[in-house]
Amino acid sequence: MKTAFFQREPSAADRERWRSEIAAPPPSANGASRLVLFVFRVGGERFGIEPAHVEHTAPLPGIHSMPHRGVSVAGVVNVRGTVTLCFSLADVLGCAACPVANRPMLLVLIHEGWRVACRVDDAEGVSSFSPSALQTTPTTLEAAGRSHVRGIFESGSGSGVGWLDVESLFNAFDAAAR
Amino acid sequence: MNQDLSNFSMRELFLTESETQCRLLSDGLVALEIRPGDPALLESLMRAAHSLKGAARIIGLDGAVRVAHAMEDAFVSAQRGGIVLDSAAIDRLLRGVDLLSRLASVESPDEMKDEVEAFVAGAAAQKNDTAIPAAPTVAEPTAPSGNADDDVRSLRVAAESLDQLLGSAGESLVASRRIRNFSSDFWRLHAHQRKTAALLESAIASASAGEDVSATLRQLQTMIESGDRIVLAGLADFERFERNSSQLSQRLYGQALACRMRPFGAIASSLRRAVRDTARRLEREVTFEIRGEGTDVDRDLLEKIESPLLHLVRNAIDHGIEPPGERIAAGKPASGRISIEASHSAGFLVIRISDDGRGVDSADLRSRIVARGLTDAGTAEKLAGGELLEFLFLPGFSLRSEVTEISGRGVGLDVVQSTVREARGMVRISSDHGQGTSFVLQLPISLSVMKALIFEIAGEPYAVPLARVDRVMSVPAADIESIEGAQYVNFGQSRIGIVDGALVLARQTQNEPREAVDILLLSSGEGRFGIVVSRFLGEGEIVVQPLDRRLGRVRDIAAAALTEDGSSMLLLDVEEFILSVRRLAAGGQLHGITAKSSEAGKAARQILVVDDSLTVRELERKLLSSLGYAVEVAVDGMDAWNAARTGRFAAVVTDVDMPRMDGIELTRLIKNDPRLRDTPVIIVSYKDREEDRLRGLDAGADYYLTKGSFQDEGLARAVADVLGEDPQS
Repeated sequence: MKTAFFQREPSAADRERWRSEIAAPPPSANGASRLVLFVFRVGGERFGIEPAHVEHTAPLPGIHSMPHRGVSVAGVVNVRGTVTLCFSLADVLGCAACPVANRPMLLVLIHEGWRVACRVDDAEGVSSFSPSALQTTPTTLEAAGRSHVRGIFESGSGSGVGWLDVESLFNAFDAAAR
Repeated sequence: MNQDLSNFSMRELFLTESETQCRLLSDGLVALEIRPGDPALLESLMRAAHSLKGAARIIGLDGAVRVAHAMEDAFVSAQRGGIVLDSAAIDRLLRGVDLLSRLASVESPDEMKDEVEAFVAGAAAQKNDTAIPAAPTVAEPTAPSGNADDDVRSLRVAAESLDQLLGSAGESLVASRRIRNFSSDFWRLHAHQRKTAALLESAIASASAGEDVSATLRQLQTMIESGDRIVLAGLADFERFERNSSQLSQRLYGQALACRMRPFGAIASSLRRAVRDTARRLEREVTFEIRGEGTDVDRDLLEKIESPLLHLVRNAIDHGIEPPGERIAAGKPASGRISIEASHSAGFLVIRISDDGRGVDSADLRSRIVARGLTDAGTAEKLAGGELLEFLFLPGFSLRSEVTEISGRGVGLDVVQSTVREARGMVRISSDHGQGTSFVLQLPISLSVMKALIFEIAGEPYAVPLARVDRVMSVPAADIESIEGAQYVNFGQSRIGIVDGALVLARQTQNEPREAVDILLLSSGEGRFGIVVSRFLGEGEIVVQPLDRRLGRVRDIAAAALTEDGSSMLLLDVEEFILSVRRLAAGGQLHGITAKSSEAGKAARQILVVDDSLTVRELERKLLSSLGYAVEVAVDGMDAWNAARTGRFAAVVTDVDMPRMDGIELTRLIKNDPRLRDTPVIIVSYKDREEDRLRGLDAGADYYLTKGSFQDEGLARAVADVLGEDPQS
């Protein structure tokens, strides 16, 4: 029986090569590898998230509010033709809302195929941080059991940047949606 | 188990092929019963079995090879005149088809070895021309499709549809480049304007120096005229472009939509099979006719309505078509007729299922309604034809006293109705006693596009399906009257209660005084109401998008869509919205009653009553209200959960079988919520088997009562008990 090219069994040598490539540790950059985060502002606080989870940013469009849902659900917005759920990050993260947002933006985040939009007060862009500058979160936050921050990067200028734990953040979104 | 990936995809291919061949086999066998020995049919059956055998051999599905081989053998023998395929043989061969489609879809076909052997042995026995052995007991075939439903959904689309779509998409890409021409037109115009302005400036300078500018002015005039020509040419071009572009978009959308469509005939084979099997089992003679097989139906919709339709045709045979003797005695032909017809009509898909059977006996139905305690004899007498037949859609309502194999499949008319409603359609039943029954399903042609009325509530756009709008009107504020705080408008002979839409959706109301209010009239089985909206925005075709599934069910909201300017809007769930309106209205009344009974010194405790049957709900509400409780109602588990999680209820009384979320799930949610855990839950159900009781109690219910308990005060006692009160007080 003839088999089409793509249905062909891979050879044992190929399999072995693939296996070893996958098993090898990822190549690390020489010296101190720096952590790259996308930084944005909510209220008076700054947060960072891995750029892989940021799909895009856009000027804040009109948000249609959602009846019978809590304040964390800002409503729904049009993200490239798809009506997408939009959260108020200030409420999900429990920050004081910014009295005057000079540059409100829409941040579209994605994690495990779930795409959500978030209203933030400013998007600063990508910055890199040295892992050695990572500080633990204040114990008061952890005690409250609602910290979605893995740690804080103190930077020389301006306030620290909270490194968001994507898993925990999306769990919070999931809980807030219901 | 073989985990090889390449093998896995072969398995998928086989599943696809087996679906096609099994449909051919099934259709062919049903046809063969009507035209026994038809050589063309036997030939195509033989070929289908043969191909399937070959395909099964390639992927090493040994069981399927043996079954297909036995079937092929039977067809070959029949071709040579060795055996006659009578109804019993066709029964057996159809079971073989089921076996094949299950073998193709189950994860471990090896476990079905015994069934395969039994089938092959049966086939061999027949070939040896001995008496046909008793059919081996074969488990009820499970639906073969849907097992391979992974996270990534794939669709099979006709190559032609995809080619057309690609063609239009390419055209659209080319067309979009033409937009660049317009910007160069604008630049040209801009340059021309600058030149004109410069000339004008020099003319002004010359004029103030007292020079003769008449030549320059003439030159200016020509320049303005030529500028105008540039504008007009660009405009004509632009209008042409706009026209083409909107046609193209329309075509593109239509073609994308066509990829979602399948002919109604795609489910014809399973319908024919259901009719044939049911008729044979119940020993009825039935002529079955399908019309409109080419009618396009949205594939999701088709999938959704397949099992309700199967239920309706089985029902037609079980409840409708009389045994041949009875038919002849009634002066009808021995063979009953069932027809199913699909057509597009006025923007809807209409499916009509009719039989010429015994029809519904109104007197009998009335007595059953009374016997079930759904209403009293006096009211039942007054119920007109349509109203009476509506009772057939109540959960658990059957015209049969005994549960037959056919009607005991777990799909009732109530499920048919709720499935059709979920698809934003409706189902009507009509029947003439002795002459037959027909069901008419009216459904949207596509689940994703519909005509809608768009309006604003609290400054945000909302929409309702146009088909659900009774009327829109603008009423002078002075014409709004009120009784006991409830506002209404006069409409013809009737008074219609009006409610602010913003209040229902718990939005901020803008209390600006208005000269006239815009009112939207909506109605459902629950009544007719006027909804005050901020303003009407018009009607249009909207493309419906589902809400993020993580939102769960949002009360009053069915889906979302985009407006023409690209902002989001929400589509109201009309049934639910009217319920919310009713609840608001009833809440007002209930507060009145509560205020009176609280003279006794204790505030009335709130109880949530959950049942999808209006009758049961009202019965329970009346009973509990008469005991001094404040009662709120919910129509299903989802609705109840939305209400219960506010935590204001002292107890919850719920039914089990309900659409969207059943009572067991509701109980589990309440009992697993740290805040609500202590709220007592009483289940009241028609299901009175011990395992049903245990299922309820396992979920955490405090009481499990059967619906007979209304009469013997069981419910009153249970409520008093869980609330720690003496029922006599």
